[in-house]
Amino acid sequence: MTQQDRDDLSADILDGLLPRHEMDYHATAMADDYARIRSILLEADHAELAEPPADLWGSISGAVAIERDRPVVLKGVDTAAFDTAAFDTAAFDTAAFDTAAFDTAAFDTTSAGTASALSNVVPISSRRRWKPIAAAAAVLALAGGIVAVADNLGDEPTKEIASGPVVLSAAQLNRLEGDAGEGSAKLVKVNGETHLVLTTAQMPAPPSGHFYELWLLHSDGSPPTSLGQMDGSAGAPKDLELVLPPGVDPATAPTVDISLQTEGSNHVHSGHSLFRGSLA
Amino acid sequence: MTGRYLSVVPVYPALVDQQPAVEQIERDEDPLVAGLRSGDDAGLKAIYDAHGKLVFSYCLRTLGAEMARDATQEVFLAAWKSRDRYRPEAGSIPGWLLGIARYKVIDQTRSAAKAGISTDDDLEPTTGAFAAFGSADRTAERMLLVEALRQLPERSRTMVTMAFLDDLTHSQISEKCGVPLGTVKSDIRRGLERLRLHLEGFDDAARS
Repeated sequence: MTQQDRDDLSADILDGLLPRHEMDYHATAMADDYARIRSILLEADHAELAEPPADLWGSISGAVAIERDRPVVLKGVDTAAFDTAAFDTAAFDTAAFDTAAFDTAAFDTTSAGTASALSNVVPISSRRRWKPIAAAAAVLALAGGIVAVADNLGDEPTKEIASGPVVLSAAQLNRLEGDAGEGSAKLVKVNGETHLVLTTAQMPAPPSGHFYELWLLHSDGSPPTSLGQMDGSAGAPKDLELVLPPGVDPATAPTVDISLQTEGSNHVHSGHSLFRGSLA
Repeated sequence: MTGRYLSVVPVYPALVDQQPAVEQIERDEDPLVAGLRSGDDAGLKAIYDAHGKLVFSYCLRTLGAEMARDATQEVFLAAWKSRDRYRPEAGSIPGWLLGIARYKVIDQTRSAAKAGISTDDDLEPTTGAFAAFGSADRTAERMLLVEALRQLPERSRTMVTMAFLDDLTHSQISEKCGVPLGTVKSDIRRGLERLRLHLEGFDDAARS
Protein backbone atom coordinates (compact mmCIF):
# COMPACT_ATOMS: atom_id res chain seq x y z
CA MET A 1 0.00 0.00 0.00
CA THR A 2 1.53 3.25 -1.07
CA GLN A 3 1.19 6.52 0.78
CA GLN A 4 -1.13 7.59 -1.98
CA ASP A 5 -3.26 4.50 -1.37
CA ARG A 6 -3.47 5.30 2.32
CA ASP A 7 -4.40 8.89 1.63
CA ASP A 8 -6.97 7.83 -0.94
CA LEU A 9 -8.46 5.27 1.40
CA SER A 10 -8.75 7.74 4.24
CA ALA A 11 -10.24 10.37 1.97
CA ASP A 12 -12.62 7.80 0.54
CA ILE A 13 -13.88 6.85 3.97
CA LEU A 14 -14.41 10.39 5.10
CA ASP A 15 -15.72 11.76 1.84
CA GLY A 16 -19.06 13.47 2.23
CA LEU A 17 -19.06 13.14 5.98
CA LEU A 18 -17.03 16.12 6.92
CA PRO A 19 -16.63 19.59 5.56
CA ARG A 20 -13.83 19.67 3.05
CA HIS A 21 -11.65 21.88 5.22
CA GLU A 22 -11.84 19.36 8.09
CA MET A 23 -11.38 16.32 5.96
CA ASP A 24 -7.73 16.78 5.24
CA TYR A 25 -6.94 17.02 8.92
CA HIS A 26 -8.87 13.88 9.86
CA ALA A 27 -7.77 11.97 6.81
CA THR A 28 -4.19 12.64 7.78
CA ALA A 29 -4.84 11.32 11.28
CA MET A 30 -6.42 8.21 9.84
CA ALA A 31 -3.53 7.74 7.48
CA ASP A 32 -1.22 8.03 10.48
CA ASP A 33 -3.08 5.19 12.17
CA TYR A 34 -2.75 3.09 9.07
CA ALA A 35 0.94 3.82 9.00
CA ARG A 36 1.20 2.74 12.60
CA ILE A 37 -0.61 -0.50 11.87
CA ARG A 38 1.64 -1.16 8.93
CA SER A 39 4.74 -0.52 10.96
CA ILE A 40 3.61 -2.91 13.69
CA LEU A 41 2.63 -5.64 11.24
CA LEU A 42 5.91 -5.39 9.41
CA GLU A 43 7.94 -6.10 12.51
CA ALA A 44 5.64 -8.79 13.92
CA ASP A 45 6.88 -12.36 13.79
CA HIS A 46 3.45 -13.93 13.24
CA ALA A 47 4.33 -16.78 15.57
CA GLU A 48 1.57 -19.10 16.68
CA LEU A 49 0.07 -18.52 20.10
CA ALA A 50 0.91 -20.84 22.95
CA GLU A 51 -1.69 -23.02 24.60
CA PRO A 52 -2.25 -22.10 28.25
CA PRO A 53 -1.90 -24.84 30.89
CA ALA A 54 -5.01 -26.97 30.99
CA ASP A 55 -5.78 -26.12 34.59
CA LEU A 56 -5.28 -22.38 34.28
CA TRP A 57 -8.95 -21.61 33.86
CA GLY A 58 -9.67 -23.51 37.07
CA SER A 59 -7.22 -21.30 38.91
CA ILE A 60 -8.77 -18.16 37.46
CA SER A 61 -12.26 -19.32 38.30
CA GLY A 62 -11.16 -20.12 41.84
CA ALA A 63 -9.54 -16.72 42.28
CA VAL A 64 -12.69 -15.01 41.05
CA ALA A 65 -14.82 -17.09 43.41
CA ILE A 66 -12.72 -15.94 46.34
CA GLU A 67 -12.81 -12.37 45.13
CA ARG A 68 -16.59 -12.39 45.01
CA ASP A 69 -16.59 -12.74 48.76
CA ARG A 70 -13.83 -10.25 49.30
CA PRO A 71 -14.54 -7.93 52.19
CA VAL A 72 -15.65 -4.54 51.06
CA VAL A 73 -13.60 -1.52 51.81
CA LEU A 74 -15.05 0.72 54.40
CA LYS A 75 -15.31 4.26 55.56
CA GLY A 76 -13.72 6.93 53.50
CA VAL A 77 -12.29 4.64 50.93
CA ASP A 78 -13.04 4.75 47.27
CA THR A 79 -13.66 1.11 46.58
CA ALA A 80 -13.18 1.78 42.91
CA ALA A 81 -9.56 2.44 43.66
CA PHE A 82 -9.13 -1.18 44.54
CA ASP A 83 -10.58 -2.24 41.27
CA THR A 84 -8.25 -0.18 39.19
CA ALA A 85 -5.00 -1.57 40.38
CA ALA A 86 -4.40 -2.96 36.97
CA PHE A 87 -4.51 0.47 35.47
CA ASP A 88 -2.94 2.50 38.18
CA THR A 89 0.36 3.78 36.94
CA ALA A 90 1.03 5.17 40.40
CA ALA A 91 1.57 1.56 41.42
CA PHE A 92 4.86 1.74 39.64
CA ASP A 93 6.01 4.74 41.55
CA THR A 94 5.77 3.39 45.06
CA ALA A 95 9.47 3.22 45.55
CA ALA A 96 9.15 3.28 49.31
CA PHE A 97 7.42 -0.07 49.22
CA ASP A 98 9.06 -3.15 47.92
CA THR A 99 6.18 -5.00 46.40
CA ALA A 100 8.29 -8.05 45.78
CA ALA A 101 8.98 -8.28 49.46
CA PHE A 102 5.31 -8.27 50.32
CA ASP A 103 4.74 -11.60 48.72
CA THR A 104 7.94 -13.26 49.62
CA ALA A 105 8.82 -12.05 53.10
CA ALA A 106 8.92 -14.81 55.62
CA PHE A 107 6.11 -14.58 58.05
CA ASP A 108 7.31 -13.98 61.56
CA THR A 109 6.19 -17.16 63.15
CA THR A 110 8.10 -16.51 66.32
CA SER A 111 6.03 -13.71 67.65
CA ALA A 112 2.81 -14.77 66.09
CA GLY A 113 3.07 -18.39 66.98
CA THR A 114 1.76 -19.33 63.59
CA ALA A 115 4.10 -22.02 62.53
CA SER A 116 2.43 -23.44 59.51
CA ALA A 117 -0.05 -23.40 56.71
CA LEU A 118 0.21 -19.74 55.82
CA SER A 119 -0.17 -20.74 52.24
CA ASN A 120 -3.65 -22.00 52.91
CA VAL A 121 -6.43 -19.86 51.63
CA VAL A 122 -8.45 -18.38 54.41
CA PRO A 123 -11.89 -19.92 54.18
CA ILE A 124 -14.41 -17.66 52.58
CA SER A 125 -16.75 -18.19 55.47
CA SER A 126 -14.27 -16.64 57.81
CA ARG A 127 -14.12 -13.42 55.86
CA ARG A 128 -16.40 -10.62 56.84
CA ARG A 129 -17.42 -7.35 55.55
CA TRP A 130 -17.25 -4.50 57.90
CA LYS A 131 -19.38 -1.57 58.54
CA PRO A 132 -17.51 1.15 60.25
CA ILE A 133 -18.81 3.10 63.10
CA ALA A 134 -17.80 6.60 63.84
CA ALA A 135 -15.53 7.27 66.73
CA ALA A 136 -18.35 8.90 68.60
CA ALA A 137 -20.50 5.83 68.22
CA ALA A 138 -17.75 3.65 69.55
CA VAL A 139 -17.44 5.87 72.54
CA LEU A 140 -21.13 5.49 73.10
CA ALA A 141 -20.81 1.76 72.88
CA LEU A 142 -18.12 1.63 75.45
CA ALA A 143 -20.13 3.92 77.66
CA GLY A 144 -23.10 1.62 77.58
CA GLY A 145 -25.10 3.32 74.90
CA ILE A 146 -26.77 1.87 71.85
CA VAL A 147 -24.52 1.32 68.92
CA ALA A 148 -24.66 -0.02 65.46
CA VAL A 149 -22.17 -2.77 64.95
CA ALA A 150 -20.57 -4.48 62.09
CA ASP A 151 -22.87 -6.99 60.55
CA ASN A 152 -21.90 -10.25 59.07
CA LEU A 153 -21.35 -10.07 55.31
CA GLY A 154 -22.48 -6.50 55.25
CA ASP A 155 -25.86 -7.03 53.63
CA GLU A 156 -27.95 -7.81 56.64
CA PRO A 157 -29.76 -5.16 58.59
CA THR A 158 -27.55 -3.45 61.09
CA LYS A 159 -28.21 -4.71 64.54
CA GLU A 160 -28.81 -2.56 67.51
CA ILE A 161 -27.60 -3.74 70.82
CA ALA A 162 -29.18 -2.46 73.94
CA SER A 163 -27.17 -3.94 76.70
CA GLY A 164 -24.10 -2.29 78.10
CA PRO A 165 -20.73 -3.50 76.79
CA VAL A 166 -18.01 -4.89 78.99
CA VAL A 167 -14.38 -4.53 78.04
CA LEU A 168 -12.78 -7.97 78.28
CA SER A 169 -9.25 -7.11 77.30
CA ALA A 170 -7.27 -4.46 75.51
CA ALA A 171 -3.98 -4.22 73.71
CA GLN A 172 -1.78 -1.56 72.26
CA LEU A 173 -0.68 -2.56 68.77
CA ASN A 174 3.05 -2.42 68.31
CA ARG A 175 4.34 -0.85 65.17
CA LEU A 176 6.59 -3.37 63.45
CA GLU A 177 8.08 -1.05 60.90
CA GLY A 178 8.10 2.56 59.86
CA ASP A 179 7.32 5.44 62.13
CA ALA A 180 3.76 6.34 61.21
CA GLY A 181 0.47 5.23 62.63
CA GLU A 182 -0.72 3.83 65.89
CA GLY A 183 -3.43 1.45 66.94
CA SER A 184 -5.11 -0.33 69.78
CA ALA A 185 -7.66 -3.08 70.06
CA LYS A 186 -10.28 -4.02 72.62
CA LEU A 187 -12.41 -7.08 73.07
CA VAL A 188 -15.84 -6.06 74.22
CA LYS A 189 -18.72 -8.25 75.32
CA VAL A 190 -21.95 -6.82 74.04
CA ASN A 191 -25.26 -8.54 74.61
CA GLY A 192 -23.61 -11.93 74.68
CA GLU A 193 -21.46 -11.34 71.60
CA THR A 194 -17.76 -10.67 71.53
CA HIS A 195 -16.83 -7.61 69.56
CA LEU A 196 -13.43 -6.45 68.50
CA VAL A 197 -13.01 -2.69 68.53
CA LEU A 198 -10.01 -1.43 66.63
CA THR A 199 -8.79 2.13 66.91
CA THR A 200 -6.18 3.47 64.54
CA ALA A 201 -4.71 6.90 64.03
CA GLN A 202 -2.27 8.51 61.66
CA MET A 203 -2.13 5.45 59.48
CA PRO A 204 -0.41 6.19 56.19
CA ALA A 205 -2.46 5.35 53.14
CA PRO A 206 -1.42 2.01 51.69
CA PRO A 207 0.56 2.26 48.48
CA SER A 208 -1.40 1.99 45.32
CA GLY A 209 -2.37 -1.60 44.57
CA HIS A 210 -2.24 -2.56 48.24
CA PHE A 211 -4.54 -2.50 51.22
CA TYR A 212 -4.53 -3.19 54.93
CA GLU A 213 -6.11 -6.30 56.31
CA LEU A 214 -6.92 -7.15 59.91
CA TRP A 215 -6.19 -10.63 61.22
CA LEU A 216 -6.34 -12.71 64.32
CA LEU A 217 -3.31 -14.96 64.70
CA HIS A 218 -3.87 -18.30 66.36
CA SER A 219 -1.51 -19.48 69.03
CA ASP A 220 -1.77 -23.09 67.86
CA GLY A 221 -0.19 -22.37 64.51
CA SER A 222 -3.32 -22.66 62.42
CA PRO A 223 -3.76 -20.21 59.56
CA PRO A 224 -4.55 -16.63 60.52
CA THR A 225 -8.18 -15.63 60.40
CA SER A 226 -8.96 -12.62 58.30
CA LEU A 227 -11.37 -10.22 59.94
CA GLY A 228 -11.63 -7.96 56.94
CA GLN A 229 -10.09 -5.47 54.66
CA MET A 230 -9.52 -2.15 56.35
CA ASP A 231 -10.24 1.38 55.50
CA GLY A 232 -7.32 2.56 53.46
CA SER A 233 -7.63 6.27 54.02
CA ALA A 234 -4.87 7.99 55.85
CA GLY A 235 -4.75 10.27 58.79
CA ALA A 236 -7.65 10.82 61.11
CA PRO A 237 -8.39 8.50 64.02
CA LYS A 238 -11.01 5.93 63.30
CA ASP A 239 -12.74 3.09 65.04
CA LEU A 240 -13.95 -0.12 63.57
CA GLU A 241 -16.05 -2.63 65.40
CA LEU A 242 -17.08 -6.08 64.39
CA VAL A 243 -18.51 -9.20 65.87
CA LEU A 244 -15.94 -11.96 65.89
CA PRO A 245 -16.67 -14.69 63.37
CA PRO A 246 -18.26 -17.86 64.71
CA GLY A 247 -15.70 -20.32 65.93
CA VAL A 248 -13.03 -17.72 66.50
CA ASP A 249 -12.06 -17.80 70.13
CA PRO A 250 -9.88 -14.93 71.25
CA ALA A 251 -8.45 -17.22 73.88
CA THR A 252 -6.84 -19.30 71.15
CA ALA A 253 -6.44 -16.48 68.62
CA PRO A 254 -5.26 -13.67 70.83
CA THR A 255 -3.00 -11.72 68.51
CA VAL A 256 -4.34 -8.83 66.49
CA ASP A 257 -2.34 -8.21 63.34
CA ILE A 258 -2.57 -5.64 60.59
CA SER A 259 -0.88 -6.61 57.37
CA LEU A 260 -0.18 -4.93 54.09
CA GLN A 261 -1.68 -6.98 51.29
CA THR A 262 -1.19 -6.80 47.57
CA GLU A 263 -4.38 -6.26 45.67
CA GLY A 264 -5.23 -9.26 43.53
CA SER A 265 -2.94 -11.63 45.37
CA ASN A 266 -4.09 -14.85 46.94
CA HIS A 267 -6.04 -14.38 50.10
CA VAL A 268 -3.43 -15.38 52.53
CA HIS A 269 -1.50 -13.28 54.95
CA SER A 270 1.18 -11.53 52.95
CA GLY A 271 3.75 -11.96 55.67
CA HIS A 272 4.15 -8.22 55.76
CA SER A 273 2.82 -7.25 59.18
CA LEU A 274 2.73 -3.61 60.12
CA PHE A 275 1.11 -3.70 63.56
CA ARG A 276 0.60 -6.42 66.08
CA GLY A 277 -0.59 -6.76 69.65
CA SER A 278 -1.82 -9.47 71.97
CA LEU A 279 -5.19 -9.42 73.66
CA ALA A 280 -4.23 -12.28 75.93
CA MET B 1 -3.77 5.87 17.96
CA THR B 2 -3.90 9.49 17.10
CA GLY B 3 -7.62 9.64 17.70
CA ARG B 4 -7.97 13.12 16.32
CA TYR B 5 -10.98 12.19 14.28
CA LEU B 6 -12.64 10.02 16.87
CA SER B 7 -14.67 12.77 18.42
CA VAL B 8 -16.12 13.57 15.07
CA VAL B 9 -16.34 10.10 13.64
CA PRO B 10 -16.90 7.56 16.42
CA VAL B 11 -17.10 4.58 14.10
CA TYR B 12 -15.91 4.91 10.56
CA PRO B 13 -18.88 6.81 9.26
CA ALA B 14 -18.77 5.42 5.78
CA LEU B 15 -19.65 2.08 7.29
CA VAL B 16 -22.57 3.63 9.09
CA ASP B 17 -23.92 5.03 5.89
CA GLN B 18 -23.09 2.29 3.48
CA GLN B 19 -23.24 -0.84 5.56
CA PRO B 20 -25.38 -0.02 8.60
CA ALA B 21 -22.71 0.29 11.25
CA VAL B 22 -21.23 -3.15 10.89
CA GLU B 23 -18.63 -2.62 13.56
CA GLN B 24 -21.01 -0.92 15.93
CA ILE B 25 -23.53 -3.72 15.62
CA GLU B 26 -20.81 -6.27 16.20
CA ARG B 27 -19.68 -4.51 19.33
CA ASP B 28 -23.14 -3.89 20.74
CA GLU B 29 -24.24 -7.43 20.19
CA ASP B 30 -21.02 -9.10 21.11
CA PRO B 31 -22.03 -11.85 23.53
CA LEU B 32 -18.59 -11.64 25.06
CA VAL B 33 -19.31 -8.09 26.16
CA ALA B 34 -22.62 -9.10 27.70
CA GLY B 35 -20.94 -12.04 29.40
CA LEU B 36 -18.20 -9.85 30.78
CA ARG B 37 -20.68 -7.37 32.16
CA SER B 38 -22.76 -10.07 33.77
CA GLY B 39 -19.86 -10.92 36.04
CA ASP B 40 -20.75 -14.58 36.05
CA ASP B 41 -18.33 -17.41 35.56
CA ALA B 42 -19.67 -18.40 32.16
CA GLY B 43 -19.14 -14.90 30.81
CA LEU B 44 -15.55 -14.76 31.91
CA LYS B 45 -14.96 -18.31 30.70
CA ALA B 46 -16.16 -17.34 27.23
CA ILE B 47 -13.67 -14.50 27.17
CA TYR B 48 -10.93 -16.79 28.42
CA ASP B 49 -11.76 -19.33 25.73
CA ALA B 50 -11.64 -16.64 23.06
CA HIS B 51 -8.59 -14.71 24.21
CA GLY B 52 -6.83 -16.74 26.89
CA LYS B 53 -4.23 -17.95 24.41
CA LEU B 54 -3.40 -14.42 23.40
CA VAL B 55 -3.03 -13.19 26.98
CA PHE B 56 -1.07 -16.23 28.05
CA SER B 57 1.20 -16.03 25.02
CA TYR B 58 1.90 -12.37 25.69
CA CYS B 59 2.77 -13.10 29.32
CA LEU B 60 4.84 -16.08 28.24
CA ARG B 61 6.75 -14.06 25.72
CA THR B 62 7.44 -11.18 28.06
CA LEU B 63 7.77 -12.89 31.43
CA GLY B 64 8.74 -16.47 30.74
CA ALA B 65 7.06 -19.73 31.60
CA GLU B 66 7.47 -19.45 35.32
CA MET B 67 5.57 -16.21 35.70
CA ALA B 68 3.23 -16.38 32.72
CA ARG B 69 0.67 -18.52 34.44
CA ASP B 70 0.25 -16.28 37.48
CA ALA B 71 0.28 -13.16 35.35
CA THR B 72 -2.45 -14.53 33.11
CA GLN B 73 -4.54 -15.38 36.14
CA GLU B 74 -4.08 -11.87 37.45
CA VAL B 75 -5.08 -10.37 34.13
CA PHE B 76 -8.38 -12.21 34.04
CA LEU B 77 -9.04 -11.52 37.69
CA ALA B 78 -8.37 -7.82 37.11
CA ALA B 79 -10.59 -7.90 34.03
CA TRP B 80 -13.38 -9.43 36.05
CA LYS B 81 -12.99 -6.84 38.77
CA SER B 82 -12.83 -3.99 36.28
CA ARG B 83 -15.56 -5.30 34.02
CA ASP B 84 -17.74 -2.24 34.52
CA ARG B 85 -14.97 -0.12 33.11
CA TYR B 86 -14.75 -1.87 29.80
CA ARG B 87 -16.15 0.34 27.08
CA PRO B 88 -16.85 -1.48 23.83
CA GLU B 89 -16.91 1.78 21.96
CA ALA B 90 -13.34 2.44 23.03
CA GLY B 91 -11.87 -0.72 21.58
CA SER B 92 -11.86 -4.48 21.42
CA ILE B 93 -11.84 -6.90 24.33
CA PRO B 94 -8.50 -8.47 23.39
CA GLY B 95 -6.98 -5.01 23.14
CA TRP B 96 -8.34 -4.16 26.57
CA LEU B 97 -7.07 -7.44 28.02
CA LEU B 98 -3.58 -6.85 26.73
CA GLY B 99 -3.76 -3.32 28.08
CA ILE B 100 -4.30 -4.87 31.51
CA ALA B 101 -1.66 -7.49 30.85
CA ARG B 102 0.83 -4.79 29.99
CA TYR B 103 0.63 -3.46 33.53
CA LYS B 104 0.90 -6.91 35.03
CA VAL B 105 3.97 -7.59 32.94
CA ILE B 106 5.58 -4.34 33.94
CA ASP B 107 4.69 -4.88 37.59
CA GLN B 108 5.98 -8.44 37.69
CA THR B 109 9.10 -7.54 35.81
CA ARG B 110 9.87 -4.84 38.30
CA SER B 111 9.14 -7.14 41.24
CA ALA B 112 11.33 -9.86 39.76
CA ALA B 113 14.14 -7.40 39.22
CA LYS B 114 13.92 -6.24 42.83
CA ALA B 115 13.88 -9.80 44.07
CA GLY B 116 16.92 -10.60 41.97
CA ILE B 117 15.12 -13.20 39.93
CA SER B 118 16.91 -13.77 36.69
CA THR B 119 14.92 -13.94 33.52
CA ASP B 120 15.31 -15.87 30.36
CA ASP B 121 17.52 -14.22 27.77
CA ASP B 122 15.20 -15.40 25.05
CA LEU B 123 12.35 -13.29 26.28
CA GLU B 124 11.21 -10.05 24.81
CA PRO B 125 13.26 -7.09 25.96
CA THR B 126 10.71 -6.02 28.57
CA THR B 127 12.36 -8.33 31.03
CA GLY B 128 15.62 -8.11 32.86
CA ALA B 129 16.63 -4.51 33.17
CA PHE B 130 13.11 -3.48 32.44
CA ALA B 131 14.32 -1.09 29.84
CA ALA B 132 11.13 0.70 28.97
CA PHE B 133 7.40 0.45 29.09
CA GLY B 134 7.58 0.86 25.34
CA SER B 135 8.86 -2.65 24.86
CA ALA B 136 5.88 -4.15 26.62
CA ASP B 137 3.67 -1.95 24.50
CA ARG B 138 5.31 -2.90 21.26
CA THR B 139 5.14 -6.60 21.98
CA ALA B 140 1.47 -6.31 22.87
CA GLU B 141 0.68 -4.30 19.77
CA ARG B 142 2.42 -6.78 17.50
CA MET B 143 0.65 -9.74 19.02
CA LEU B 144 -2.69 -7.98 18.97
CA LEU B 145 -2.49 -7.09 15.33
CA VAL B 146 -1.22 -10.46 14.22
CA GLU B 147 -4.07 -12.10 16.07
CA ALA B 148 -6.56 -9.61 14.69
CA LEU B 149 -5.26 -10.28 11.21
CA ARG B 150 -5.78 -13.99 11.72
CA GLN B 151 -9.37 -13.37 12.73
CA LEU B 152 -10.24 -11.40 9.60
CA PRO B 153 -12.34 -13.01 6.90
CA GLU B 154 -10.01 -14.70 4.45
CA ARG B 155 -10.44 -12.27 1.58
CA SER B 156 -9.99 -9.25 3.77
CA ARG B 157 -6.96 -10.83 5.42
CA THR B 158 -5.41 -11.56 2.06
CA MET B 159 -5.91 -8.04 0.84
CA VAL B 160 -4.64 -6.40 4.02
CA THR B 161 -1.60 -8.65 3.90
CA MET B 162 -0.98 -7.79 0.27
CA ALA B 163 -1.36 -4.10 0.95
CA PHE B 164 0.63 -3.86 4.16
CA LEU B 165 3.14 -6.64 4.08
CA ASP B 166 3.64 -7.16 0.38
CA ASP B 167 3.27 -3.45 -0.31
CA LEU B 168 1.05 -3.88 -3.33
CA THR B 169 -1.09 -0.99 -4.53
CA HIS B 170 -4.84 -1.26 -4.54
CA SER B 171 -4.78 -1.58 -8.28
CA GLN B 172 -2.29 -4.42 -8.16
CA ILE B 173 -4.38 -6.22 -5.54
CA SER B 174 -7.45 -5.71 -7.69
CA GLU B 175 -5.69 -7.33 -10.63
CA LYS B 176 -4.15 -10.12 -8.59
CA CYS B 177 -7.37 -11.06 -6.85
CA GLY B 178 -9.61 -10.41 -9.82
CA VAL B 179 -11.98 -8.18 -7.90
CA PRO B 180 -13.06 -4.61 -8.61
CA LEU B 181 -10.97 -1.80 -7.17
CA GLY B 182 -13.89 -0.65 -5.03
CA THR B 183 -14.14 -4.06 -3.43
CA VAL B 184 -10.45 -4.01 -2.64
CA LYS B 185 -10.77 -0.66 -0.94
CA SER B 186 -13.86 -1.74 0.92
CA ASP B 187 -12.29 -4.98 2.18
CA ILE B 188 -9.10 -3.27 3.24
CA ARG B 189 -11.01 -0.52 4.94
CA ARG B 190 -13.07 -2.95 6.98
CA GLY B 191 -10.06 -5.05 7.79
CA LEU B 192 -8.12 -2.06 8.99
CA GLU B 193 -11.03 -0.92 11.09
CA ARG B 194 -10.95 -4.24 12.90
CA LEU B 195 -7.24 -3.97 13.49
CA ARG B 196 -7.59 -0.44 14.69
CA LEU B 197 -10.20 -1.47 17.26
CA HIS B 198 -7.69 -3.78 18.85
CA LEU B 199 -5.13 -1.05 19.19
CA GLU B 200 -7.74 1.34 20.54
CA GLY B 201 -8.75 -1.15 23.21
CA PHE B 202 -5.13 -1.47 24.20
CA ASP B 203 -4.62 2.29 24.19
CA ASP B 204 -7.78 2.80 26.22
CA ALA B 205 -6.65 0.41 28.93
CA ALA B 206 -3.21 1.96 28.94
CA ARG B 207 -4.71 5.42 29.41
CA SER B 208 -7.11 4.40 32.17
